[in-house]
Amino acid sequence: MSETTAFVYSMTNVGKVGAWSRYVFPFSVEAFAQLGNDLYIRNGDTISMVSEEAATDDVDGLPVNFAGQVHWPWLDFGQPGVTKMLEGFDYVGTGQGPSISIGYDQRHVGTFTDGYQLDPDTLPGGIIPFPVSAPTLSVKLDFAGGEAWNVQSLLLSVRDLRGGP
Amino acid sequence: MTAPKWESGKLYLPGDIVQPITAPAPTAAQVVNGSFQSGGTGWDFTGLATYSSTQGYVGPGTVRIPGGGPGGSDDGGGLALNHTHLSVDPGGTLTARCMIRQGASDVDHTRGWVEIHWFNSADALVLSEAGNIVNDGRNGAWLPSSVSSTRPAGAAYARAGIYLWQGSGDAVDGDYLTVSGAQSGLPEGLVYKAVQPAAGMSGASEPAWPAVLGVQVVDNEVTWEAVATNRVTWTASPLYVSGATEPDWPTQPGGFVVDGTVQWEAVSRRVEDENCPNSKVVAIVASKVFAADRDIVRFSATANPLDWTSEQDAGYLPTGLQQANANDMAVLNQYRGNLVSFNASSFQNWQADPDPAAMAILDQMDGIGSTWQGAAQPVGNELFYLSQLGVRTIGIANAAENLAAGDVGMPIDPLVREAIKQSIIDGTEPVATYYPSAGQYWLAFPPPFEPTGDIAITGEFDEGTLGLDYSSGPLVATNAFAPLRWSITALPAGLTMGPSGAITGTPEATGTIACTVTVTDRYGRTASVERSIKVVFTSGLFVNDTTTVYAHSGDTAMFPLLQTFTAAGTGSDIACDDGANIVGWTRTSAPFFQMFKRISEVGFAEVAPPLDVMPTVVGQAAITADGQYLAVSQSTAVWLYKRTGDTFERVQTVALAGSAYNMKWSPSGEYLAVCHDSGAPYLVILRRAGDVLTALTWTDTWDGKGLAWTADSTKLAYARRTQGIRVLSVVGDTVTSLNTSYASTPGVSYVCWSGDEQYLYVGGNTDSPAGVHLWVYQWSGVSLTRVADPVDQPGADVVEMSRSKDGRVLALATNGGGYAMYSASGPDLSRISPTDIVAASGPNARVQFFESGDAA
Repeated sequence: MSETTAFVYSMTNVGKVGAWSRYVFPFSVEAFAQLGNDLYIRNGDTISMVSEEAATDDVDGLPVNFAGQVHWPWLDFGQPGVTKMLEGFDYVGTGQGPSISIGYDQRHVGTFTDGYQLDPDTLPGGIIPFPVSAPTLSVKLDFAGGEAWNVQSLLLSVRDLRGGP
Repeated sequence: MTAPKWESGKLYLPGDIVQPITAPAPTAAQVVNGSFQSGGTGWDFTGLATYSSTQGYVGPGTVRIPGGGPGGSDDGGGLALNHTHLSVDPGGTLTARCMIRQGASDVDHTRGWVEIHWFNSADALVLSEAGNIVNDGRNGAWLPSSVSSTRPAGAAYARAGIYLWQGSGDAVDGDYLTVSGAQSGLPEGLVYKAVQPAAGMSGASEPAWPAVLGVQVVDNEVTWEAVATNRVTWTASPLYVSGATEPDWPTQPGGFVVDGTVQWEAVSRRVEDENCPNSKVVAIVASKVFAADRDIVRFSATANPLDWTSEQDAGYLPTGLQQANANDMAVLNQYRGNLVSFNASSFQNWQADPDPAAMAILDQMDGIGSTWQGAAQPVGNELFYLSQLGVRTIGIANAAENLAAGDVGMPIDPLVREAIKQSIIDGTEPVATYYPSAGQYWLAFPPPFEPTGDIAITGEFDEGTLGLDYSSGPLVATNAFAPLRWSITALPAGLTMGPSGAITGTPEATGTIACTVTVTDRYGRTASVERSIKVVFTSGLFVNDTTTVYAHSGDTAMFPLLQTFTAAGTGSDIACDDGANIVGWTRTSAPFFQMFKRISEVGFAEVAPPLDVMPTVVGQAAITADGQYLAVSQSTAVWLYKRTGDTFERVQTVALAGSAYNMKWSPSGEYLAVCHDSGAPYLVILRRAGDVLTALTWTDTWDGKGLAWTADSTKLAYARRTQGIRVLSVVGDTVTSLNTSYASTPGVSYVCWSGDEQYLYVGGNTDSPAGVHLWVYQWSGVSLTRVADPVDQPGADVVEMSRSKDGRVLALATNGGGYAMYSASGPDLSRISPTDIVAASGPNARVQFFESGDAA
């Protein structure tokens, strides 16, 4: 399958901080061109325009959802090598809510908990209990697609088990 | 003509032109009241002419001179001129016609005719012309008068009239005035020009525009004159028209082709300046195009990308001199108005300027490199580029003018490196852009290529020849992606396979080597095929020592041993056919004759019994080129054998005057030359017809040993020891000597023609001068001339000579000096030293070449 991987660095004005995203296009990106404020992508005789509003793929004229994922690396959350206890979390975002998975064995990068579907904003009320123990943790947020989404923050409640019971 | 419409109360300058709002009434095409239907209205009567209500030609009225009788007071003439202004185009012709009635009964008592009067715009008479005179109207007849007049220069209009005259008191009438040729409308392109001397105001209402060219009308302070515009009518006609069918377009720049009335020239769309590197590493800065050219960066003339040569405008940046490595420039871009260039391991920042003298290097850093032209992009205040490690940046450091490197792409380095690795394998390049509206830098890698299907290897390796340079392959690998790696499991000695899969070298042994050829493409896919490489030889060579015959294959200096044939007893002579399917060997003791048959490319087997009647005395032997006849000397006779399958049957015996020294068949197999001892004729030439040999008439005067036929079997060289060499012509049954001077060098024993048959190689049984046993003679057609002796001489007397069929190698057998091999080319003989020929040589040493042939 002719899939093009595009790495996109998006800059923000706050502290010159940028973030990388990765997009996989189901076609070959052969050239970019800009006209006005729009970015166009060429694939053979097909020209596509990049739009923030597009939440689905256009496949033969029909909208098809495309999935999105936010994936944090393996994080120590404190002193390396010490087992930590994730007690729960709160998620704040807009648009579509994600499915959250927690990775708990960095030796096996595919070892994640089953996904748990979240509302777009869980901050009101208590935290979402999600007990996981591991020296390092990784978090994945999977979005089913079909509508826009935005991640504002993910608050993890982690307790260091060193010296604990 | 486009002109403004007339306007009231407007200031008009002299020369202004207007069009009327209300067009003037069209001019008349016919005179008004020309038949006096309305009485005398519209006519000016002068002289004696008056209106008369007399019945006219068509109505109740005429113009008349009544006449009062001869000598009366009304003798004379008069004109009735019609008021109608007749407009005629410039150069046009007006025709007027009227009817005249003479009242008198006598001819010329009265006269009448029609007239045309031309007036200018000021109503002044310009020209008048009269028609034919009617002076006969007896019995009251009406007769016509007509006139045609061309509009004269300066005329604005015309009027037509009828002139009458009488001189005898008789009445005369005119009527029915008509014209033709006058315009029926306005003159074409009539406009009005202000002709008053100074600027003036137009009136409040539109004047009565005159319809006649040149006529003026006063419009308050403006005087308008009717003028005609000049018009030019252009007709477009094509100068170049292509043909009915598409031409055969030339494909090279500068080529021409004719297409109808058009000639097309093929031109290149490329920049043809020889200094333009035509590379894809390009940047546009300071109105110039910069392009990498190995380790320098060339630039075009300012604002002229077609010019890469003009002095003090186009040129190059010596980027290669600013770096401590030998890599070529791979990336060009601009950063803050400057030109930046990367190679794999360094970065340079150049001040770019339309003036080449103002260009200078601003900064340079080793250790920062990129080879990805498509990935470099100015992004905000920084320049993003793709290094082997990932996306990096160059930007101005805080509070400093120096550039500093950044590692913006570090979080995604593993992913980018993986993509880079795939791109390198695929031979593709990423593309990038900066999308300012979203504040994003995009870097897109092409899709990884996924080869499908299997690799197929086709083709065969060429056959090699022993001792000759060999080059073959590579085989063809389809559906494989370069670079390809080839390997092979086995090769003939002397050959190697190079990285490209081609096999080269010099084969050192004959035979067929089976091998497996494997190819691996850049995706690691492999394919193998079984092949074989065959090495053959062009010439074979038999040599013998006392008890053994050695068969060698070879070419040039390489004559490895094929096989040996050994028998009890001493060998005497070797004979074989051209393809060496049959080899005969005479012996000095029983069985006196042995025969070997070719059973493979490099193998022989003995045939027993070879002859139906075996010779019993040591002798010479000769086999025809086609292997069908064998001649063996038996004491003082020659026995002729004919081949049947693997055996030879004796068919004739020919008596000789002595014992044969040597026997040679002509290449055609038609003649057998035999030289012998013990008296004349010494040389016998036998002509074969079927199975019968007949001696030709020839007597020589001296015995000799060397015999050599030319390829066409028409000349025979005969070496007569101390009596020199005779060259004989043998045609049909006639033998003649071609030379009379016999090159009487002492001891010429054996002869052999050169490949071009322009020279004779001669071996001697004595040395002359001392140490020289091999000589070369040039054959002119009638005489032999000795040329320079070969530098490398055999070490002993020559006892036999043979030349390879391709003429490139001469082999000598010497008496006790071994075998000598020469590379032969015309008169040049250079010694070669095949190391594999180890046979000792004696007085019966023999050499005999044959062609490789095929096993019979």
